[in-house]
Amino acid sequence: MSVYMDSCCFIDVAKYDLGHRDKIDSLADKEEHIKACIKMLDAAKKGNLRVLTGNITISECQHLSGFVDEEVKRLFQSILTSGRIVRIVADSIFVAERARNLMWDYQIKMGGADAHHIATALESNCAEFITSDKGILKWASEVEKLGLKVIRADESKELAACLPGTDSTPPATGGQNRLFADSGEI
Amino acid sequence: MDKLAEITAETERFLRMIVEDISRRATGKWIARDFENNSVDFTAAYISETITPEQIQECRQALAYTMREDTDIEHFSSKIRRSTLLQYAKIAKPIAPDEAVHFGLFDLDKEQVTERHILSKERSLEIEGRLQLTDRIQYDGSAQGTIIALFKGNNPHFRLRELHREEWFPCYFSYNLYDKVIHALENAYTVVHVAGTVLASRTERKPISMQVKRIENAEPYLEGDLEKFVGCAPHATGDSSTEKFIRLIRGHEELVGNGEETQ
Repeated sequence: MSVYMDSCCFIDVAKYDLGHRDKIDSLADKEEHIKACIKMLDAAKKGNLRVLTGNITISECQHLSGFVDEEVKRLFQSILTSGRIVRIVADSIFVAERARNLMWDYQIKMGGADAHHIATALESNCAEFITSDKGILKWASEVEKLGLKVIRADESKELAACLPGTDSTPPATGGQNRLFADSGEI
Repeated sequence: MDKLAEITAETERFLRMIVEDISRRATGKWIARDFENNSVDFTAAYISETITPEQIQECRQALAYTMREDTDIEHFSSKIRRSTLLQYAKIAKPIAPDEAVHFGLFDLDKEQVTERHILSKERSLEIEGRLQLTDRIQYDGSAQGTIIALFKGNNPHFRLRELHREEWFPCYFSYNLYDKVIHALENAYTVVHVAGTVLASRTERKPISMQVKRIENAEPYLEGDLEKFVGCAPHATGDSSTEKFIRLIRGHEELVGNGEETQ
């Protein structure tokens, strides 16, 4: 199974430096999420987890408004585009149509870029969408109905499943439900 | 007997796909029960612990919509995959023109059949034909992957195995890109980014082939890059928080300004 990582996760990992803890907003709340993002990237490097992201993440991570030197640019490229850590899901007509249909079919009224990220994760059959962005997290319950969990990295069952010594059994959500169809008569 | 087995297998596949269309993560199974003597009439029941009553209702609506004899195939609901509709058509593939497959949908409260539909050979062929006519689509796109085979000659192409999908498709190129293709093959593990005109299947939702316009080797990963990446840019978003920065580059502040009164 695969997880999709939103742009903000990569940016926060790049900002996460013990010497500059004040540079991350709400660090006390986000620190476990960021540490889990790092574990996810490490698991991807070891081949234990598939971490996907869309083309759009590359452009969003290059729009860094602060000072960025050549080595930092190279590191972003290495992590995002080398194929060794993260796998890129390229844009397609199917992603674009799915992004549009979030609004048309399910009344999920996200901005274009947010919808594009979610649609890319759905189109590539990811189980989890990892983000700390409240603008996307507020749609979690609607998107979950489509089969994609929108969560922070420290809530990830996919990460738990690939770390040694953790129980990844999902809890049952209720009793048995049934659908009947009578069929097969010629 | 072969024909009956085939119809049952195709029906089971179709029923599984319709549930996936409503909830990709639903884990359950279709079981057959209430077999009638001397016929192939049976009741298929879906049993799951992860699907909600609302989703059950949606599944029933999706079944009714797909099975309805007058559903417009050209403007089919985007909530149901084209591959699901094609699978429905496949159920009647083995039958003769004068035969038909009958379906009855249960009312979920009364537990009795309240809606009946017929899939004829003619309707099955109509669905297949219309889907085939509108299946192919072309767009300019790209892909990340590794080259797993090269074919020279009059129609040079290579097979690109996409990293995220782990499936390959042929990429055709002209000989002015030959050196770049060879460069990509110098190292067995080189990852490439290719861009060009993609021919894709709407039903399968994946590329069939690409006419390559550009090919570049990906930035290599150097040992230790991940460790260096952590904390490499503490000032990456300047004075903004990450969330504010993301909202800004995604244009949400403009959206608010255009759609709502701002303070």
